[in-house]
Parts: sequence; C-alpha cells; structure tokens
Amino acid sequence: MNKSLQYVMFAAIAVLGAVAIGVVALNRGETINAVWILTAALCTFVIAYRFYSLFIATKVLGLDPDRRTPAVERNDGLDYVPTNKYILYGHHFAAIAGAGPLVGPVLASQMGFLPGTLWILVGVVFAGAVQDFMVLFISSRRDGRSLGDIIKSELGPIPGTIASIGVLLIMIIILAVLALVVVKALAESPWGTFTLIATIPIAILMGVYLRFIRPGRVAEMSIIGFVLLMLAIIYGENVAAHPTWGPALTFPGTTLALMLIGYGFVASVLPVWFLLAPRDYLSTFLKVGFVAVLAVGILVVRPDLQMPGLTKFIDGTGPVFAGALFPFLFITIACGAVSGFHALISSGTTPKMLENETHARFIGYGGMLTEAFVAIMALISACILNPGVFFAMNAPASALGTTVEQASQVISGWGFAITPEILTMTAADVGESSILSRAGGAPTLAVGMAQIMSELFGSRATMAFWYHFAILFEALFILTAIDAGTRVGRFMIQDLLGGFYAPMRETRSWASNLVATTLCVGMWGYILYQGVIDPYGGINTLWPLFGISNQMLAAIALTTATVVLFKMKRERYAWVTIVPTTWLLICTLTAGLQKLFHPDPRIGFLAHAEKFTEAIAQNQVLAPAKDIATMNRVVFNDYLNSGLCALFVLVVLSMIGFGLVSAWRAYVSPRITAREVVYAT
Amino acid sequence: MRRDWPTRWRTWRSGFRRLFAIPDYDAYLEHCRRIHPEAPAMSHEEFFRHRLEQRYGNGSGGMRCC
Repeated sequence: MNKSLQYVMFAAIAVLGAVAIGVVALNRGETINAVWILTAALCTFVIAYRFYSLFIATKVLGLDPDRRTPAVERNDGLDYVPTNKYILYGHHFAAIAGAGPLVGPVLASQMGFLPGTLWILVGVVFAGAVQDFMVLFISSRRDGRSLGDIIKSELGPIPGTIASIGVLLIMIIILAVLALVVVKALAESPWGTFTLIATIPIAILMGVYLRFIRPGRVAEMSIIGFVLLMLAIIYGENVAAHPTWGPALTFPGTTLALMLIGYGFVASVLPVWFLLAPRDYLSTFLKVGFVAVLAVGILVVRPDLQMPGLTKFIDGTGPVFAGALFPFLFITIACGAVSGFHALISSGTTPKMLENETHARFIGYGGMLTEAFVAIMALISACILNPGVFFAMNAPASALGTTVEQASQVISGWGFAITPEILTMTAADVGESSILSRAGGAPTLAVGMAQIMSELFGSRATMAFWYHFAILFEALFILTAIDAGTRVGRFMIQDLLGGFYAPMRETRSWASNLVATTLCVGMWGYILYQGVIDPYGGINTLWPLFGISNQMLAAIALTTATVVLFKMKRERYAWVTIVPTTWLLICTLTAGLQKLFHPDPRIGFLAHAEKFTEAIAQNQVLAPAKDIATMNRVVFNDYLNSGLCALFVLVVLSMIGFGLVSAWRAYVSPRITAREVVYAT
Repeated sequence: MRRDWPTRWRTWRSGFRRLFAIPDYDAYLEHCRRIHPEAPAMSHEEFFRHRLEQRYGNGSGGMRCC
C-alpha cells in the first residue's frame, strides 16, 4: 500500500477511535451500546501498535533483525525452537491470559464502565504492553533467562533475592485469591460443585490415556475430555436436583475452602502426567475457545450497557471494594491494564522460541493488547447486567442481608432500582438457588456471558448451561493454576530456604519436598480460609492486596527495564519506562499506605484492628462476628494483612533504591554496561 | 513454492501443537535428523515423558498467569 494512503487510513482510524471514546466518555444519562466501547478499544490498539510500539522497537530498543536469538543459536528441538511469529503470539497469549483480566474489570464496574475502560486503554498502551515487550526483548538478549536472573546480573544479588521474595509473596496471594474466587462461585451450588469434582476423574482418565493408551495424542485426548466435560455440565442439573446427591454436594464456603486446601496439597505432590498436564491442555483449549465465543457473542448481540458511566461509588463508599477511585481503581484492574506477572512469562518460555528479535514487538506488545481486549470484554459482560443484579451479586452479605427482599431494598436505596422478583428470577434462570453475595467476578461474568449467549441462540432455556459453562471454565482454569502454582511456589521456597540450609534445595528429596509444599499450601491456605470467614466477604480485603502485589511486580520489572536502558546508553528514551514506573509507584504506594493507615476501618487494616480491639476491651461483639474468639481472629488477620502490605511497600521501595543506584552508575560510566549475550555467527 | 496437501497438513498440525505447547515429536525427529544425524534420538514415549518433566518438573515451567 502506498505511504500516503496508509496515513489517510490511520488518520481515519484515529478519528473513529476519538469519536468512540468521546461517545463513551461524554454520554450521560442514556444507555450506550457496547459496540462503542469495542470500537474505542480496537482503534486505540491499532494506533498504539502502529506508532508507539514501532517507536519503541526502532528508537528505544533498536531491535536488530540480523542478531541471532537464543532459539536460533541453541536450537535443540525441545525448549529452544525458532517459532513462527503468529504461532508464538498465540502461544504467548495463551500463557499470559488467565482469570485476572476477567475478575478485575468486573469488580471495578461498581464505579461505572467509564473509569475501568479508560484505565485499561491508557494502562495497556503506556504500561502493560511496554513492560511485556521490553522484558521479552531483554530476556531474549540474555539467553532467554528469567526475570530473577536478569535482576541478579543487572542490579546485583541483594535486589535479586529481594525480588524473588516479592515474587513468592505474590504467588501466595494470587493462589489464595484465585481459590477464593472458586469458593465464592461454588458455595451452596451443587451443580457447579458437581461439574468441578467431575473434572478430576475426567483429567485422570485423560492422563492415563495420554500415558498408557495412546501416548502423546493430546488432541484426541482433549476431544474426549471435552465431550465428557460437556456431559458433566449438562447432567449436573439432574445431579443437583437429585434428592440425595443435590444436598450432598451443597457445601458452605468453609468446607469448600478446606477441600481446596487438601486438594492443592495432594495434587501438587502427584506426578504431573496424572492430573496436571491433561487438565492444563483442556483448560488452555477452553480458555482460547471461551475468549473467541465471548468475542463473537458480543459482536453479534451488540448489547446495551445498563450500568451508568460513573456511579456514586467513585467516592470510595462502594460495597464491592472499599476505597476511592484513586488509587483503588488502578489496583483493582491489574491484569488487562498492566500485570507484573507477565514479566515472568515474557522471561520464561516465550524468549526461548523467538525466531527473530523484531518479532518481540508483535508478540510482546501485541499479545498484551489482546489481553486488554479480553479485559474490555469482561467489563462489557458485567456492565450489560441490570446494575441491581450486579450489586446483588457482588456486595457482601453484611451489606445486603440474606434475603432477596432485604437485598433489593438496600440496593434500591443506593439508587439502583431492583425488585426481589428480578433477583429470584435471575437465580432461577441460571439454575442456582440464590445469586446474592457471589463476589469474586466469576459468577457475574458467567451471568453476563449467559445473557449474551442465550440471546445469541435466542433461547432463555440455555442460560443455565452457559452460566455453568462459564463457571466451570474459570474454576477449571483456577484449579490448574493452584496445582501448578503450588509446585512453582514449592521450588521457590526450596530455593530460598536452600540459601540457609543447603539440603532444602534437594528437589528429589521427599522430606524437603514435603516441607516446602506444606509451607506453600499452608500460607495460601491460611489466607484463603481467613478470606472465606472474613465478615466483608474476603474479596473485599484480598483483591486489593493482590492488586498491590501485582502492580508492585510490574514496577520492579519496569525499573529493571529502565536500568537496562541506562546501561545500553539509551537513557534519552528512558521516559518510556520511567513514566509508567512512576505512575505505578504512586498508585501502589498510595494504596499500600491507605490500606495500612487510612482512618476509615473499611479501608485501613490498622484502623479496623483498633476498632475491634476497643470493642473487645469493652466486651462488645461487633457484627458480623458472633463471639469474642472470632473478634480476636479478625484482629489477628488485620495485623497479618498489614504486615503483608508493609512488606510489599518495603520491597518496592528498596527495589527502586537499587534501581536508582544502578541507573546512576550506568549513567556516569562512559561505556555500555548492559550484560547482553552475543552469539558468534 | 507449491506445496502438496500432506505437507500443508503437517505444517498446520505442527503450528497448532506449538500454539498450545503440545510436544511435537515429528518436529523433534526432523530436528535430530538435520542437526545430529549420528546421535540416537529419544523414542516417542521417552520424548513425551521428557517434555512433561521439563514443563512442570523443575519449577520454571507450568507458571500460569493470574
């Protein structure tokens, strides 16, 4: 295409995008169509990819098409394999996309669709995609080494150790929060519980098939597994309605939490071929399929958004999560806008498969844009719901009460008119006994998706199927994450403890294995359990902690990228990473300090602890706690959460300190000091 | 270059496998034949066990994002 025509085309896209953003941002009072948000997002992505990522590729990093990549140099047909650009893009996307971008935007919808949409678009373009792209580039110039190794060699061993402790803490929090999402989705839901339990024998069957019956036939095995899974969803309705099986599979949250903790322990010590590997494939297929189906559904149905652009909860009084728009919106939506966890993937398998360095732009930057698109779709799914239904599902029981009558009264009082009949009917439509206080994002997204899909197929009767399909998809995905994450956490603990007591590092030893696994499961299990019994519903407390830790990791990754730019003597472009790092620092530090010291007990952990301590001193029992023992536990957990929060703040501050020192040294040094690996050609 | 259907099928299948991180034995054999024709390659079963072990067994693999 000739150059001037190209510019006319991009100018047209830019204008269209600006119009769409204008419609989304300025429309007041009337409902707008989801297509406007999609258009705004897609135009922003195209322009950002075409211009900003090109600027980063050519000017900031100076990608070199003639430089040999680790995949080419070390091609072993196993880990290091030069891979087609488009295939590696898909591979990378499948690895970075998870439950995060589906949950955060749903929770953030309590402030309306506008703040979330804008933050996802701005965040991904200037922070998230930049981080993924640059870490991929940095790792591919260092033999495909991991973020931890890169920090060790570029910043020094002490920051390396601090960063690995930070990563371990994040793992623990993520596992606890993800498990909590499953508990919230499955509590008192025999249908959902049955399908999830059914995945275990299905996965074992698949594992045996893959190992002994037809070794290595993954596609065949996955088709069998998929069919069995669909049967489990369809017949789950009958099981749930069964007079003995229905009640037998109806569990309260606490029992489910204990079951998950036990499961996490057992699953992570079993051989991988037995349970983990087959289910991992199945959940990857489902994930990609789910995203595609949702995209088609939204494009074809083109639903109207029921949620207003801005709600009154931007002042921090919202029931879903506490805290004002700044900084808590930017903490709540982590994945989708910027996710520090991606730095671990971008320095994991992807750089070992990069065929040419120039592909890093499409795979790193483009892959993250795709994840932001998933986050936008999740936000749309939550905002097409009746706002009354949205708040009924996401506000804790301590705010709503436990009956539909109480709940609809409370929610109508917030200004979102809703009747008890609508709440009862929505629950019946999706085949559940109640939809009240199902925080955690997954059930809300599932109802939104069920609405879109049932409209797509023109039949309300399929809503229950789609609801449970969406729940199962997320739960399956999360179980895999718990299983794999506990293993990874175990290795991290063994590595860290090995520094003090060498035998702990022995990964083949059963004793050190069990000790590390118990520690890992014990830590996330404790946080999960306190979340389940938390009077505010757990998600309220834990999701901000997760957001803070994830953004903190992003700040660490971007600091590392900044240091590397200084070491490459490209400091005149370092604003590309300094600007997002600064923003993340402002957000995480403000949020972290508010979580610690905010005088409102709904936000500040210490204020909350103080409120409960005073009540205990006067022998008062504060609702929703029922006795003094529970009150004491609440106080203890407040201090635990404050400790974690303070630790995150300290980790990020010290990393910034080390980053500044390293950047300064590189700046005054007359030579290029980046430690890149150059392969002989 | 015109390619026949079996070749196209193999290309697509191998792309699909790589996309979902499914171990690709054919590609591995091809690699071994080309690079080290003298060294013995792993058998089909050995290869799959080795890949699983690499993917989840050492703490680096199996990392899933939130």
